[in-house]
Amino acid sequence: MSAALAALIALLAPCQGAILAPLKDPLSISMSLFEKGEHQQVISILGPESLQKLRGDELRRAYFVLGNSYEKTGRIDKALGIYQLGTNLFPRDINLLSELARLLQHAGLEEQAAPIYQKVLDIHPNNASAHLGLAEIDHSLGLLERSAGHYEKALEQLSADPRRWRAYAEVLLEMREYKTAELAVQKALQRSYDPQSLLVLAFIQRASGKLSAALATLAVTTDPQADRVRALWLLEAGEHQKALAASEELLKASPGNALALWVRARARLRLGQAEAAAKDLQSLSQNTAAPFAAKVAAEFARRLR
Amino acid sequence: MRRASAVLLSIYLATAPAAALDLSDDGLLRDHLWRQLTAKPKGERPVVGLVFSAGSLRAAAHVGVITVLENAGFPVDVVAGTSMGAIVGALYAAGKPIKRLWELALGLRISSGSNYNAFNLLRLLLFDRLLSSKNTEKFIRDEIGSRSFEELKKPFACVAMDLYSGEGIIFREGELAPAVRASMNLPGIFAPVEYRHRYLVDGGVVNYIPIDAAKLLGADWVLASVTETDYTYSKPQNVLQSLEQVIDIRGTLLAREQKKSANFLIEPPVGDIGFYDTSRSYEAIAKGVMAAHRRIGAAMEEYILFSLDCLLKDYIP
Repeated sequence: MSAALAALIALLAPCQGAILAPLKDPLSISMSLFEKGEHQQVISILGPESLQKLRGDELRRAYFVLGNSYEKTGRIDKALGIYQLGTNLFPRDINLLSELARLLQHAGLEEQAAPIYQKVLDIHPNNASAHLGLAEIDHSLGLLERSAGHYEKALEQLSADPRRWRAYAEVLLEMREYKTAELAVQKALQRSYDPQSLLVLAFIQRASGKLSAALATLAVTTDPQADRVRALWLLEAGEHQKALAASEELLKASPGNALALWVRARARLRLGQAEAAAKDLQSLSQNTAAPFAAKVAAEFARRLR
Repeated sequence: MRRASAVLLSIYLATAPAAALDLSDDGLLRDHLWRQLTAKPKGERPVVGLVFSAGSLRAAAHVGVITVLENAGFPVDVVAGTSMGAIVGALYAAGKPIKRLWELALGLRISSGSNYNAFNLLRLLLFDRLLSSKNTEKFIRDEIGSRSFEELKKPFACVAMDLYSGEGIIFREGELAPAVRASMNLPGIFAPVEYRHRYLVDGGVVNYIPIDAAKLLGADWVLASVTETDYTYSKPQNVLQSLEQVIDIRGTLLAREQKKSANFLIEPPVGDIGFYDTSRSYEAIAKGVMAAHRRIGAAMEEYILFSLDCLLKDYIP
């Protein structure tokens, strides 16, 4: 991350080498400090007085460095203010606009970030980071078709990135486009055989009615969530003994785990151990970390009584 | 600049995308029970009613709500609607694909359902000649043909008001198009529709959220999509706008009571979108999507909790 930023600063300052030699003007000093990770010092040097003396491209770079420094020191509100000022002065600067949008998005202000990404796309229609930003925002807002469209655009340039293929596959899964979702997650797996993509593949297989294939996929993934998911899906496959064994294993590692308690209770019910099942449900109904599971368990326990 | 953007992209890429699968205990259990419940045929689980409120062009948001429900595999068994909600409901109950519903909502014009034009508006203002909503019938017939209620894919009901008796009339059988037209026939602007010996105007005047109509069709559990106005946004400038405002206020007062009888509400924040604000159709649909997306998990949980008896049957051998 910091290496990439340093490279960006270098690109933004084409004649930086010449300026760096005497290191007299505040911008050059700030850039040098920024590259060394001295963000607090950058902030002190690029105060309002220094900024007033800068013009044009130098001012644009100063806003960028200052905004980034505020962000690195955890002062997100200040960083947002700087980028907002910068984009008011340089409304067609893709870098400042992108940084502002990214920061807004990560601050949870997605509805404010989206029009800024859109501005970037108005200036540079193939900008992959803006397409990615919009794809993620649309996904989190539920605008799935639009999200898929942005992922497709972004993936034209980022086809080597397995995480983006996986994220695209998740959107398609929600849209119930199972075949395309499977193709997308296979692309992710071809690029990097990661456990999270396998987990997504398992969800896609299950959604398209291939439960045994999904269970087989879960068996080979090392994702830490896979065991919980597998225990639950064994119930769906009617494998109550196996589900019971899987839940026992989970409970050994994490006593009181809500999902494992549910699986054990259901398996026990099915295997005719109603009293033990009722105990599990009773215990689950006290779980405050999983309020829905607790409610369901309380209702079942009441009905069983 | 292009190289700078490429580096910026690498910064962006350094951040991992947020995981979309809900792998929390509650999320996994909800997904598990949901599959089990929705795999049951209609008779073996509580009947789900989907109700669309009145709300003129704001009701385009219902299309967004339908989109999210369909993606979630929500089992909608019966449908009811009032006014513009009746149009959306009729098309949905007829089995129109979501894509077509979006196209229709985006293409909505005031003249889509009426003979509205400058000349007729002048006649209305100067000579008290009310507009006609006959185009609504044509719109419905063009889309789904001359079908009856009985020929729809899902049972459907819509509501109008009889001007002679003041009664709310629930239509659920016979010819569809005139009933839907009557349901969205704004009083004071459109001439009342004479149908089945009644003199009918917009159902929103008496039944803004027709939950009772869905229950009449057999719904045990009702999800209502409500597109109320926020009348504090608008300042009426003429007779028509004042009339619309009064209808909206009346609708809001009715809605306040009716909401209590729904099992679950989705309320897209479209209150500031005006009666004829066709330029904001996309925004209305998107707000419907976003509101439904935020609430869909909770809606699924409510329906599951309502249906526990039928789930429990599967658990005991």
